[in-house]
Amino acid sequence: MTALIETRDAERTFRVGRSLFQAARTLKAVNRVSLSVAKGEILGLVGESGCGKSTLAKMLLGLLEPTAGEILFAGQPLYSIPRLERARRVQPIFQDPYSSLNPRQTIAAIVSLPLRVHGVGSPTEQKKRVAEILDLVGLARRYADNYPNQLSGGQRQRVAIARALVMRPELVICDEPTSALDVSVQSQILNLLLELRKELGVTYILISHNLAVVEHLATRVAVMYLGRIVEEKDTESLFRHPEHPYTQVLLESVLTPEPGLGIPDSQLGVAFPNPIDPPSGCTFHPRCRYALPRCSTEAPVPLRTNGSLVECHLSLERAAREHRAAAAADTATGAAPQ
Amino acid sequence: MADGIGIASATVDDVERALTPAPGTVRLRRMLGHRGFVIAGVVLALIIAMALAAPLVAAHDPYIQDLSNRLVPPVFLEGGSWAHPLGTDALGRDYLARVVYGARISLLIGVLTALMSGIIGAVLGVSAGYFGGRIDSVICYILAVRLSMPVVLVALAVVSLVGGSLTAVIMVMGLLLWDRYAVVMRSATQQVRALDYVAAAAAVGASTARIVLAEVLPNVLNNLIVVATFEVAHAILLEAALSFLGLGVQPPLPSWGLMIAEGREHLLFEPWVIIIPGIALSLLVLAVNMVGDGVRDIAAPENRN
Repeated sequence: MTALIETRDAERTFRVGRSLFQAARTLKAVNRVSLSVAKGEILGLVGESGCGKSTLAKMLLGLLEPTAGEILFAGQPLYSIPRLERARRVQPIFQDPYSSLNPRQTIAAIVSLPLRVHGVGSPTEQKKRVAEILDLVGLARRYADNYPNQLSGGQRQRVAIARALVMRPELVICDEPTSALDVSVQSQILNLLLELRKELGVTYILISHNLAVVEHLATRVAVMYLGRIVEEKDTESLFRHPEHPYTQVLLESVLTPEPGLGIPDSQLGVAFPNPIDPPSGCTFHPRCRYALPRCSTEAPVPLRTNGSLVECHLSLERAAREHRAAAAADTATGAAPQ
Repeated sequence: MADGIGIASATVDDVERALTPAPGTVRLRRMLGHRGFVIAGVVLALIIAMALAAPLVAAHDPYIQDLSNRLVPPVFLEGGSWAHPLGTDALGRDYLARVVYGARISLLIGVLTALMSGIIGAVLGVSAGYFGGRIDSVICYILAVRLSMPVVLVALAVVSLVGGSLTAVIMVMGLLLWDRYAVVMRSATQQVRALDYVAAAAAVGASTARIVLAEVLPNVLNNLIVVATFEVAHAILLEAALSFLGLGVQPPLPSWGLMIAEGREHLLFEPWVIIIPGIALSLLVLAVNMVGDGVRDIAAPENRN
């Protein structure tokens, strides 16, 4: 499979806190992230608030240039693709449908904005395409002349999806597409996203802190912590065998519907570290229950094994042990016949 | 929300119609339900109509002097007559005609000044709020410089240099009174700029001009209109002050401030000479301010969301 979008050591820093009396400090929101998403995949991106998910999303959308590294879209550097072409191929769906729709424009105007910006078709053709896409996202055509304030949250999110898909993009980046919606509406929107993928063959990057949503939709999951991808695997094995201690804690903290169990204990005792001043070594070590002495001094290197990635000293040591054992077994079996 | 009356036999269409109305309908309803706005709006409309139809309202020419008929009291005072319902001034000019034509001057100055300073302030405020960074710093610096100048003193100084005239007064005030627009538009733009629909328009590939004009501007226009109404009142008062000091509109043009200044000498024995233009001025400024208050009440709840 060829990658539709790929980041290579993409990095984004912000200068913050500059004032008359204080020099600016650097905040690394996204720290050398390498990701690749194949056509037709749904990549789930999970992590706490403030871990850099949304910054990464903005970079992938072409709204925020990386300060280092590069982003390739279909093999081409994303930021060398002209603005309009990029916009035609990559589209966002935002979290809050109450702020993602211009309150002064009708639904038809909002959905036809991409068509008008790209100069697609005559006004009558645009009208037709708007009607088509409204049908596709399951919104009655009679809403075309209404304003966003007349629609419910779920309907608004359908409008946002219609706007994102009206140009038939290849990649859609969904930033928490359901977290602002009522629970009863969430599943409708998620199923709609899945149907549209079948219908239009789009690739999704799904950003969420809701693990249930990710488990339901994603084919592959990347876990982000303080600007780094700490684990990345196909959905099933990530949920069955989480390797990174952070992933394990995340999965344990999911609320269960069984009433007797109560609220799970968070194993993340220490508060989220300040991203301006990240911990030394492995940035997760102050909160990690298995932290080794070397974790606080030495940053782990990512360990890649057939399609999955994990960045943890424990995994590295285990791999090293297994490697040694295998080598020992090799020499043992190799020695025997002699 | 919808007033849930008569749901019992409602059809689908009725329910549709009972849904939250469109923003335009909401605004109209709020407008008509706002008593202060309606009353002040009527007063303001009457004053504007009077100014526009000045030759029909006033039977006399406001410039013709009649020295044999000086300081005739208005009809409601002893010695007044219907020939001059509001009496005549010290040069025997019909006072009603002067008040009515004076409304033209006040409104003209108020509207033109607000328009001119509104354009300057909106351009500066929106660019500062939208682009931020260095542009914002530069505009904030210009704003700080402007705020450090006392308006009345600068206006006095400039008008006394170039000489008082209607154009000079409008130009000076138009170039000075943009500060409030800039401050309000800057912060309103900053708020709107951070919203997702602006990001969505950028992600769709819309140009900066399109984003500013079609996405940002319509959503900050409320604020502009509110500030504009207050600035109209501000400009009218400032013009009256300048004219009173002799540095605004020059005689024989009938300006209310000038009429008050001219009536100064008669304050003791013919106080109506000052009271009549004074009432006209207060009424106009009050009406404009109340309309401004109303616009704010009507427009703001949508921003609060």
